[in-house]
Amino acid sequence: MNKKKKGTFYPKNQGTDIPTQQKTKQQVAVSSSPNSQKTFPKGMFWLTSVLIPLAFAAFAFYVLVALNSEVLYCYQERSLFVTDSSFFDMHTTLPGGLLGWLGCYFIQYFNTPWVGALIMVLMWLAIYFISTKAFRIGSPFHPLALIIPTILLCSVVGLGYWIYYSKVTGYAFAETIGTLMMVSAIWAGSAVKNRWFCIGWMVVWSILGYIAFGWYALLATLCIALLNLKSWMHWAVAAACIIVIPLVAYNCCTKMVLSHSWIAAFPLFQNDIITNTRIIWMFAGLAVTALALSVAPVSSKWTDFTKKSRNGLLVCALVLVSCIGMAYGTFQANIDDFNFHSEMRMYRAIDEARWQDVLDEAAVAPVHPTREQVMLRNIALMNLGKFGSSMFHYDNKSIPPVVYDSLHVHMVQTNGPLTYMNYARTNFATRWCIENGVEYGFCNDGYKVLIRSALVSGEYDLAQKYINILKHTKNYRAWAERYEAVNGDSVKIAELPEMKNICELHNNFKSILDGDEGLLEMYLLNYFSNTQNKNSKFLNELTLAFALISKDIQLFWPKFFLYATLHEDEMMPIHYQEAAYLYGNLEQGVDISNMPFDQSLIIDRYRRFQEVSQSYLRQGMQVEEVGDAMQSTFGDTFWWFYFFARNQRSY
Amino acid sequence: MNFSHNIFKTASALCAVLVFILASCTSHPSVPTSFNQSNQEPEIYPDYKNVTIPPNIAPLNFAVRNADAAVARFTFGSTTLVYGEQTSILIDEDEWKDLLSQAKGKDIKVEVFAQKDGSWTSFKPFSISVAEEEIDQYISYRLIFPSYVAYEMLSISQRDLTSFEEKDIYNNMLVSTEDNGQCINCHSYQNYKTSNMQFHMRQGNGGTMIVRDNRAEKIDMKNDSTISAGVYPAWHPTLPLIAYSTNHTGQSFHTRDKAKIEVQDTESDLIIYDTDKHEIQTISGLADEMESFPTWAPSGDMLYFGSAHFVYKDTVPHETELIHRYREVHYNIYRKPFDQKTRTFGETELVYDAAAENLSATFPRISPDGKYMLVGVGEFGCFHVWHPDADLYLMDMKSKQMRKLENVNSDRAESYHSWSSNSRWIMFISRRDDGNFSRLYFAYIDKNGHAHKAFELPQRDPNFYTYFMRSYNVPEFMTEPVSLSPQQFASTAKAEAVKTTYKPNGKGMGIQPMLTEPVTDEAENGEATPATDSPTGTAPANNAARP
Repeated sequence: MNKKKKGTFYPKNQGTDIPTQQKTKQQVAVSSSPNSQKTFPKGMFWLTSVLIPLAFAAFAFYVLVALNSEVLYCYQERSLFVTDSSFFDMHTTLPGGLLGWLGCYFIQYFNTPWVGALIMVLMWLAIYFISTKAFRIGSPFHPLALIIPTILLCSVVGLGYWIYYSKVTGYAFAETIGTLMMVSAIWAGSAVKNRWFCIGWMVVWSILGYIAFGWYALLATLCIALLNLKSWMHWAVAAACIIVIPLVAYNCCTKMVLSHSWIAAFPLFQNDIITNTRIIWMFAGLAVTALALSVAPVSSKWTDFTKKSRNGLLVCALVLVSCIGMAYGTFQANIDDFNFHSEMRMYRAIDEARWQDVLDEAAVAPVHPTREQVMLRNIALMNLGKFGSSMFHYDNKSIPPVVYDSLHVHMVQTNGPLTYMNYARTNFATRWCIENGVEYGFCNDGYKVLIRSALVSGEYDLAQKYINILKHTKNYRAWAERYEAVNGDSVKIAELPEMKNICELHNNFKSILDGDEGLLEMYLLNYFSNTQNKNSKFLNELTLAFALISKDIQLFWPKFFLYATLHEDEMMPIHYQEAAYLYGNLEQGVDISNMPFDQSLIIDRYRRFQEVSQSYLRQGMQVEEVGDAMQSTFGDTFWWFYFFARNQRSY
Repeated sequence: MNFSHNIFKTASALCAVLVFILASCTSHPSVPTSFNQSNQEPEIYPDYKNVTIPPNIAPLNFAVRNADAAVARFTFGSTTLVYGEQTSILIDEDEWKDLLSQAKGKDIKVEVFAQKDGSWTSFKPFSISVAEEEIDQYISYRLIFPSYVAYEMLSISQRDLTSFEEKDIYNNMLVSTEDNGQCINCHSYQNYKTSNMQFHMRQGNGGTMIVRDNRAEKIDMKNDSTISAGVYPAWHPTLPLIAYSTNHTGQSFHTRDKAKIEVQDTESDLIIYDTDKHEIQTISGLADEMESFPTWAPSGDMLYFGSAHFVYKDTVPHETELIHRYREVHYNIYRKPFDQKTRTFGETELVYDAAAENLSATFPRISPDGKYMLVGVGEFGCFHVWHPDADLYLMDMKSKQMRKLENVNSDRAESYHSWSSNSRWIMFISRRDDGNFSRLYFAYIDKNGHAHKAFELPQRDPNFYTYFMRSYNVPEFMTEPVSLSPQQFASTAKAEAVKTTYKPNGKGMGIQPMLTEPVTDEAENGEATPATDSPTGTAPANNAARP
């Protein structure tokens, strides 16, 4: 083998000339041993090989835990790992299936985000370390080996709303593990000196690695061939492996299209409309990086360049630029939209029946919320009995979710099942859990909703099936056992604090044939605002609140009067007074002259509201501008919502 | 399990090879020497207590519930076998085959010992009866998540009942892409043979896959003269003809009812497809009748089907009206004589007036010996898999007496059913396990038409169904495995479909009025008669134009 192929990113050795073969060996040793850094300042070694990697680790940990802890938790909620052989079987019937299975296992640790993040960062450090060996990177350029972990970090924090539309099993950890296996295989291939052993390793790895890790194995095979650029035998074997093995797999496996056999386990995010090119580019970048690092040691120009890089300043500059670039790229990739993160925090709080936390989250929002946040907040208000007193104290003017591509976010696929369950539409909750499970994989979050829905609707055997599954998970065994203890006993189920209201609603519903057309909010709005129920105070208030949201005067009055009858001798909540006073003034069909409206909060304030709005309009302001101008003083009223919260587009 | 899957699994976890080798060495635990005696039967899953099984069925592995450990002792004559791994009773396949061959026509005694909190209990023994008659070696079914609208991975799979081997016949993931997904359904075979078979593919690469003499062809049955392409298929036992229903189907959702979903046909007709000529003709298409679920008598001279008489008031769209009146839809069972030489149909005869009993009968299936008709009966509608009240009913074709089948029904849905080729076994799907997931059950029908207790399709892992999130759908018996590979089907699916032509009906195929009284003659006598061996293509259908 031509010894030039074993070139490294090492600085040129100084001193007497030595025979080429000895020199090469010594150079390899220099690049891998800090004590033998004769031409490179020792401090620089610590900087490039120790401090910068550790700084990366700290930075990555910060980005994951401080900026994305709810995202990590969401990964865990939207994943599933069951300690059962059938779960393993199910995942390993596809090339790369083991990777997904392993990914699902490690994602469980995101239940405590810092633990999962720590494991992930340690894996990235391992990738870094092995990469320096696999690609024979000299100490001055060790930070280049951080490019791959940085891409992985970006892929974890840069998914955005695609997290709800992921069909990639074990995403986040699977990619890290796949990359770890890839660089390890390259390291093993590059460490083998004997050509035939190396080729043998390529074949064995290509077969076993492809079955277990999919495209990462093929990439590793290609990298090993690149590391042996001038050996046609390596190239021939690599080409044969890369072409033939996926073809054979296609004919053995019945669950993938032919073209996908070459990208088995590649994180492909797609739906029937668009493809997430952002993630594709990230992993294309990862592959290109690996290939570039593989080819660099044998490129004579590159080798010459590295020999001239004894200048510490130049190296420092290169390293610094690389690090800044990686940090910049990470922040660019990171989804820092407040609403995106806030939705996840609110969702978790709803799931754990921490109603006040939901309201606290809503109260601190620096921007208009999304419809999902509004809906989650309303669930909290409903359960705290604050619909009538507080629903307009929070921002009701919403904005669409921020996506970085043309992904259409639908609430039935994000918060739909949990929301339907809280409104006791258990069949609809079940439906969307199943639909989403079929499409994107069954997950912890889905099973939790399925269990509670089945308990509420009295399908105890079905609940037990789902409970049995969650009992075989790491994080939800105790959760499942809590519900198992009440399974079959409708009284005990209704006594659970988080189930009390759901059961009351469910017991007061009639069964009809219906459909939501995939529009969660519109369905609930239509259903509740058109429902009249006198048997349940709770349901009555819900129908009244939804009548307010629908801004339908005719739907409002019957529910308002029924509320007044059911809550005799109780104070009428402020928002219901606001609506009655407004509607009474807008339409003269109902005599409100004898209603005991609050003088200060209703009568006087409404007069001021009218005066101010008329004043703004006389100044020539558009309605939208008037709304913005008045939001700080009247945004907490039904009146402001009625006149200015317009064009709220549900999704 | 699929051989190719085993390759992946084994290679994926190298350690699993060792575990597999170790696991393959059958160990026989010993029965505890001291235990408490219980008068109760053990709680086992699947419930194989006192069932009747074929002598060629795979081992009935089961798990013992509410136990920390368990062993089971199987005794027949001088043969005694003891199994138990934790709470699972995993039976060695070879030993099980030997046991069944010895016990054919007799009972195997099963004693279960369970350990709970350190002490052992011996439960009341139960028996497993081994019938003399074997069951067809192969079955096929669609595996589908119990979803409503969405679908992702769908497979039509075949299972060897004498072992645990399952293979995909076809899997939609071989051709499905995100923007071009494919739904597959309604696999069907001619007379239990797989050399002539069919299944439908909808949406992506859509068409009907028809296999003739093991050669696959994609057919496009859509035309302007029928409601839809073919839906529910029924191969003529010998001729190159397939009867289909054509349906306009919709669904809506129950807000609270445990049935959850209502699938309804707003209209449906019957057609027949000539696989040689690629011609379609209408069999029956009355305006106020919704004809569906065709099936042939084993002799091939009678076509049975279900039909609901439903008159729309036409004040709102049909879909909306049906949502309001869905409980008024009742299907009866009818039949039409079929002349195999002229390929013409006679007048429609009422076979079972379910509507008179305020019931709805679907999927008539005639036993191959011609003695019985098995139907799915529910309170209303056509999609009984979602109806907890749905049960299987059996009609004695000689006496025309219909009865709810004993020992096989539960308080949850029983639906899609089929007969084994020797008429001694029925297979159906039931949601009795949990109310939501359809599982496969088998029952023995003795020579007197009595059903024995049904048993669930055995699996290697007795807890398989606990974690399995897909439903079994459209189970069909086969006497041989499908020989074409999934990839061959995929290749055909991606090819251009062969167009069909619609031939307007002549007198024979023409629409006939429904009779209102059940038939009383004995056109379908008790014994199956050999079907007419008419050469294909020599007896043209009556193609005279319909006025």
